[in-house]
Amino acid sequence: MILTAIVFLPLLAALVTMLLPKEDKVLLRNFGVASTSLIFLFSLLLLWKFDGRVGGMQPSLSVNLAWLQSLGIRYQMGVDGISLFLVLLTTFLTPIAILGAGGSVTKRHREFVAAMLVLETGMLGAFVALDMVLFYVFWELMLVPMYLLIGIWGGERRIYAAIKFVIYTMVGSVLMLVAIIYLYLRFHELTGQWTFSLLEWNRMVLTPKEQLLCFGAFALSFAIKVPIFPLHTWLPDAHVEAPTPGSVILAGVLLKMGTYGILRFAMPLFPYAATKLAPYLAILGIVGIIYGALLAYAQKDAKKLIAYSSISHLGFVILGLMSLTIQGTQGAIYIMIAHGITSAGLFLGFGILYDRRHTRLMSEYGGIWKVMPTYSALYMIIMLGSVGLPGLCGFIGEFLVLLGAYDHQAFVAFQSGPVMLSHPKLMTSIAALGVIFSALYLLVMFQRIFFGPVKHEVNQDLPDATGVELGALVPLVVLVFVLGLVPSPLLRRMEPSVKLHLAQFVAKQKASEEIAKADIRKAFVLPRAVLDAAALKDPSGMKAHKMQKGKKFPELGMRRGRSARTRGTTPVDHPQGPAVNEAAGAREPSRQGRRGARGAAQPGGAPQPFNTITPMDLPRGLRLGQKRRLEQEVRYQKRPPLDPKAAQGGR
Amino acid sequence: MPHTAKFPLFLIPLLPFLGAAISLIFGRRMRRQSVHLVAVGSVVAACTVALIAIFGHLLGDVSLWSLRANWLMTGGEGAPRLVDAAYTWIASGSVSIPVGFVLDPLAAVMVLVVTFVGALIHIYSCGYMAGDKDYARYFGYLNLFTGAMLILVLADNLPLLFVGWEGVGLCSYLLIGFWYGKDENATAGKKAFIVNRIGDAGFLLGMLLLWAAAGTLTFSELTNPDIQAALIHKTWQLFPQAQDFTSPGKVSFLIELRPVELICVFLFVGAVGKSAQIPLYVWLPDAMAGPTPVSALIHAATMVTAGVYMVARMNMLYSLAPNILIFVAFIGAATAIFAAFIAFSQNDIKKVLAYSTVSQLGFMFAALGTGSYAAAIFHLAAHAFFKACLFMDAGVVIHALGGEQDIRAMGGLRRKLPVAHWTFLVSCLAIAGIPLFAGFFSKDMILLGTLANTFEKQAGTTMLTAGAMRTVGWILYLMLTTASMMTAFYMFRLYGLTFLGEPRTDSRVLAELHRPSSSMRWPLVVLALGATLVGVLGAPTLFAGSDGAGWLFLAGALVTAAVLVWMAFFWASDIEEEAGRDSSYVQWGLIKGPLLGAAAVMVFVGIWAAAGKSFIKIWPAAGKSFIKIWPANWLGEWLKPSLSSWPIVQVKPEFASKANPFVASHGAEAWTMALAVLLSLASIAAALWLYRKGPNQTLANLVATLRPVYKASLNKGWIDELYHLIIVRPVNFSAWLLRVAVDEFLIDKCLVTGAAWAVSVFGWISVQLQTGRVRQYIAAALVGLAVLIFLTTRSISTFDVQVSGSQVLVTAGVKGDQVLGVPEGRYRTKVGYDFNGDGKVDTWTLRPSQVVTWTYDKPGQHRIRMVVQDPRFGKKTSTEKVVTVGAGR
Repeated sequence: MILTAIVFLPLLAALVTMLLPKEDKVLLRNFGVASTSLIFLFSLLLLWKFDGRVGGMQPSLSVNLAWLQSLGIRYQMGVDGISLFLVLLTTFLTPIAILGAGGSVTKRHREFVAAMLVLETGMLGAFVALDMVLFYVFWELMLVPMYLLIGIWGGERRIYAAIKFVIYTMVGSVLMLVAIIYLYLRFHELTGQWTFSLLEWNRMVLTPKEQLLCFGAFALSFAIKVPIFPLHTWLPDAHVEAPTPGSVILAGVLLKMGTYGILRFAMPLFPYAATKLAPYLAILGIVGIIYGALLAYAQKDAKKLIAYSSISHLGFVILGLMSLTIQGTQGAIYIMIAHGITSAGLFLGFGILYDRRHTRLMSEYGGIWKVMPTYSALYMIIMLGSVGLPGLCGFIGEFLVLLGAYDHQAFVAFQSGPVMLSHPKLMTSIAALGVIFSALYLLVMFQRIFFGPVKHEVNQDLPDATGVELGALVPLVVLVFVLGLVPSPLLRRMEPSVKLHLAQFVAKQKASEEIAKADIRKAFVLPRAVLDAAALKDPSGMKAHKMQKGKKFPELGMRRGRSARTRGTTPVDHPQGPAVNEAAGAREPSRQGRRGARGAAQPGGAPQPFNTITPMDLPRGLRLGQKRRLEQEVRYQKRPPLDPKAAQGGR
Repeated sequence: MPHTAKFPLFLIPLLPFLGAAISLIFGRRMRRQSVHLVAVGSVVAACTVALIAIFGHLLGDVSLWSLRANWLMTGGEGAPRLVDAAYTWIASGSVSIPVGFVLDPLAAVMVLVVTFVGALIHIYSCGYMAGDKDYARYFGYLNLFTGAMLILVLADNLPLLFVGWEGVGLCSYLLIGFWYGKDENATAGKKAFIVNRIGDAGFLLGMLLLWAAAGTLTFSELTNPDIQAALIHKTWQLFPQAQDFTSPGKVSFLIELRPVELICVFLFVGAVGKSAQIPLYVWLPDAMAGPTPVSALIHAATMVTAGVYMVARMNMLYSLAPNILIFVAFIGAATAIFAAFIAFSQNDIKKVLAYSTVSQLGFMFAALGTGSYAAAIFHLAAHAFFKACLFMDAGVVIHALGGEQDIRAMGGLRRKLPVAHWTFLVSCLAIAGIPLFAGFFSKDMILLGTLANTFEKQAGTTMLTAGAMRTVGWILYLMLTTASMMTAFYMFRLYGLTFLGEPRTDSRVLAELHRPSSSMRWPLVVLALGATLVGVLGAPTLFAGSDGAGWLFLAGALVTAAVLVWMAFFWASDIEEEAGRDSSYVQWGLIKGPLLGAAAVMVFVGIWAAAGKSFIKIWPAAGKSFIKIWPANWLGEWLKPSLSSWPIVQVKPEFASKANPFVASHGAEAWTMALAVLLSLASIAAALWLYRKGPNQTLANLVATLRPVYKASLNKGWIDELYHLIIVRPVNFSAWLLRVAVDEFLIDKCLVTGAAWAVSVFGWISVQLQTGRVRQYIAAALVGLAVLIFLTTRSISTFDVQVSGSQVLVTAGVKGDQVLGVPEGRYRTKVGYDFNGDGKVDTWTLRPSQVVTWTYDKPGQHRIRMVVQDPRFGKKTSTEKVVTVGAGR
């Protein structure tokens, strides 16, 4: 209920704005700020209700209602440690963005406030949705108000920027939509169940090829949103042309939608592909760190500079996510939040200056500290937070990401590969050099705008920040300090969820590895118990990962309870009849004996219900021709793929 | 086990931070006195807390009579440490980094230096900055700096140390650019921050490597033998692929590194950045753009020593990596010489001092590199006093002359600014290494460290042989002796040009000389006193321990006392001269008293030292207690628990014996000392002879003779220009190139806009096709249908052959027939095989994917032909393959 209220209250408020007078700027602004602030306060309830000791979706906060029952689409939402703070970030930044609109919004005030409110609903919904259709609806819902924000209230090239933004994002979303539909059909094929629920889909282990394709579709969609180099060129245009609140929301929240999507959807659904592609994505992240920083350094336009700095920072997030370690993932989430605060602050702060001078060129400023000391001091703190000064918010995430990436699990797979790929330490070291560049471009910007003599007469008597502007800036500055000095309340609440997330990722990844190793083109669905067990057995998630090499996927042993029963008794309907059964029986003793011993040794090892096929049921080393024939036979006879024995072939 | 106690250490950094917060937030609305009170008060309070901690807990039971702790003499075991953990800062998975503080003797020395010298500089600043508009901001930054520095020295783990590390860098940036109205200042600040950041990136990498190798970043845990063993034994291959190029077993140094070596190198990169060593020293001279007290505090006394402190703090790692220590020593020695060389010809009073600082830091690193950690810390503490004093004197001079910094326009200030003059002279004597002043002892300890035989003992654990290690020691000794000679020369050049000779200043400026206020004079005197007396804390064994040598010390003490008394009385005559002009300025006792006091202390300590051993013969009990009270190398002993009692891993016992490098014979000690003093005196004499009268013909001739050398020194070796050429411009250019060529043109224009353009071109073509003529549509549809039929019915066959013994298994794959889904039978594609090569099909199969087996009679090559018969066109296509069959089983 709380989630529903948080997500849809902004929409309600947007409807209420329609009753307000059209051009009463102050009233509309106040209404917008007041309503979103109330929503923020209300969203703090989440923090109170949140149980930081357990990972996964909080049961007390989840919603799961029927929506379009015939299609299996449900109204399913939930919050865990990963999304909690992104939700809070969104509700926190929206009032600040509306408050900071200042002089950048000069017309259609009612529509502006309404657009911001609708945007908030879209963002919140996307962060909490667990049904893929619901997610997609919110995902696309965000586009509309953002498009309007850039297109109506933007700068000179606003139409170009808005269209570029929308088309770019749409290209990615369409691919994602295709992948979603494919997964929907595939899940039905495997289980006979029509559902869009992410939690159900998470059990699905697809074949390597499917994973790579679907991951590609999802990742492309999210990579555009992040944006990952080289899909970033919409970002500077959108940022430069967007009005201040648009930039604030865009940099503060929308970009995180991409990294959140990778973490929430792309990685757990396609762990095999994620692991295989992780080094490449990590390298793209590292390229982004350095490239974004150098590009930022080369800009003359302050807003463009900040936009490119986002590319650099989000490179760290990608690196962290792709490190597949707890530290890396937590660090990545932390950077998302910290960057949400600092980039919002940088845009908001520059917006204050822009309102006074209406130019984005840094050369038009200089010596601003002399005329606007309070504003400059606050801006400097935000700038330093963005630089990643230890003790301020930017550092924690970067440090954790680097720590995690140094232990880069995914790179292990490339030990025999090219030098660059097989050296997480070397790669991470390059990423660490990003800290030099981040200081470089931000200090250069700061010097050009704030230090030196007052070069232009116009700047001589600019008024210092007003009360409203301070009201928008000061909360951000406070958070820059708080997040830097006491990160543990956040990290503590994230940790169980991240651990669970990684443990399940590892469990699924290993199951996928089994498929890949056996070279069987067969997907299957893991029992929920396996994912739960993965988390229980290995709360850190790391143990399973270390075992990856040379050992079988231990959790799959869970299925033996039933298969041991069925193997002996159930007659198997197979075209080649008894021969196959004999073959299966022939290799039974050794395997079953081993497993049985292990199963017995396991305390409380009650057999888990298991009704799906696993790669264990499939013989290894099938010869080419036999295998191909086998597949055809399965197809011709319309054998339901769920039958455990369907795919067994004789020798 | 060291005895550990809890103490609220967080108060020590917190107090200055609170002061900073008050000054920065409310400062503009506060009166000056309140700002003073907050700024100075917070640092003094921090100092008081530190003193309570140290004297109340760390020293054990302190009685007035014997100023010593129970553990003081024994060193090592039982050394108490004060710890404090405020809260967990970062926790994630196995990472847990607390905001934890530790106060051990090493930290105690640093805390005392930072808070004590810091407090003096705060007091001095009250006078110096009196005329500035942004008064509160200045003190806020200064307090912030003090707090950050205290975090740095008190931290019990590397990430927290890094907070202070970057924090002091930030404050340095803010204070260098304090007068931001001038672009040069802002640029200098930026340069300092960025060069520091380069070092910090190295530091960060060192931390990451340490984390990866040891799994901990807490200092006390790094002494764990298991962890140390892991750091030594595990090797990291830099390029595993490159292993083929090296013969097995013999892996070269560059390819395989012990983790600890890599970690030490990267941490040292951080230290190089912060402590302004080659090649990252370039920021420090530019940092002189800040207010002078800032130069004294940050760029001489405290922040720049952070690198030295960090390496000393990480001694448990560095001791495991002797190769790296040698590297550290050479970087330090090279910096000491190079910076001194540049200082020869600089004309800005602060620049000379800045390069002098770089040079002295080089001495400290050379000491660290030879394993004499205690000597480095000792020199650090002594340097903090005399260099702060020198800078503040320079501040008085600059203040007095209304901002003039060029020493060519000074001269003759001896009479005008007596307090500055005398304190400057004392500090010069100290830095030049004149006996019994602070610098003498510390520099002597460093020089001796290079020759101490423990350094040779590292041989065998390094790449070098014992003989080579001895040579290394000698080279370092020669380098440092040269540097110390140069130090004496350029310092007295500075002294001569500034204070001696006739005034070369504009007479109008001279007439309205700004006298330093009392808040500026008092700290000078205290610091000069420190520069005189601090050395006694570390007086080496030669003076205190051996029989009869104490008398030598007494003689030295008497000479020093005589110098001090002479100074006091000459100063008095100066004062009398001044008195006629401005009686309010004169404070008779201000220097005279302290100098006389210092002389008295010197004499007392000298007598004590001399009496010590001699007393033993007459009155053993008293003699022993004398020696106990003032042992040899008191500071070194006190520092021992921090620097060498870490349980060093026993794998290579050679490292462990590095604990006390001062075991060289007294003979060596005596002659190194004598030589150093002689060389210093000679340099001083030369400098005074050349510069006592300001620029003159002799000098001009000398410069003309040495023109290329002089030019190189004057232009700072063109290093700035070199960096500009090889680093700054390439970075700028590549950034520009990336923006213009890659981002704007390649990605945005070609790919993104290009894709949009391609779509529109496609749309245009479609528009052209949309003619509305039905005939064309039908024709197109028919063509399309034909193509479709052709594509879907085409038989594309694959042909797999597997051989096992004499048996051949053949499989065909025919695609076309699958696409149409034709049932088996007459209309289905037939596949035939001809195995024996007689031209006729031996086996026909209706299911192409069916495996057909054929057994050959004789081994050898056989030609297999596959024939595919397409029912639609009755066409046959054939494919041939040659197989080699083995003998039957």
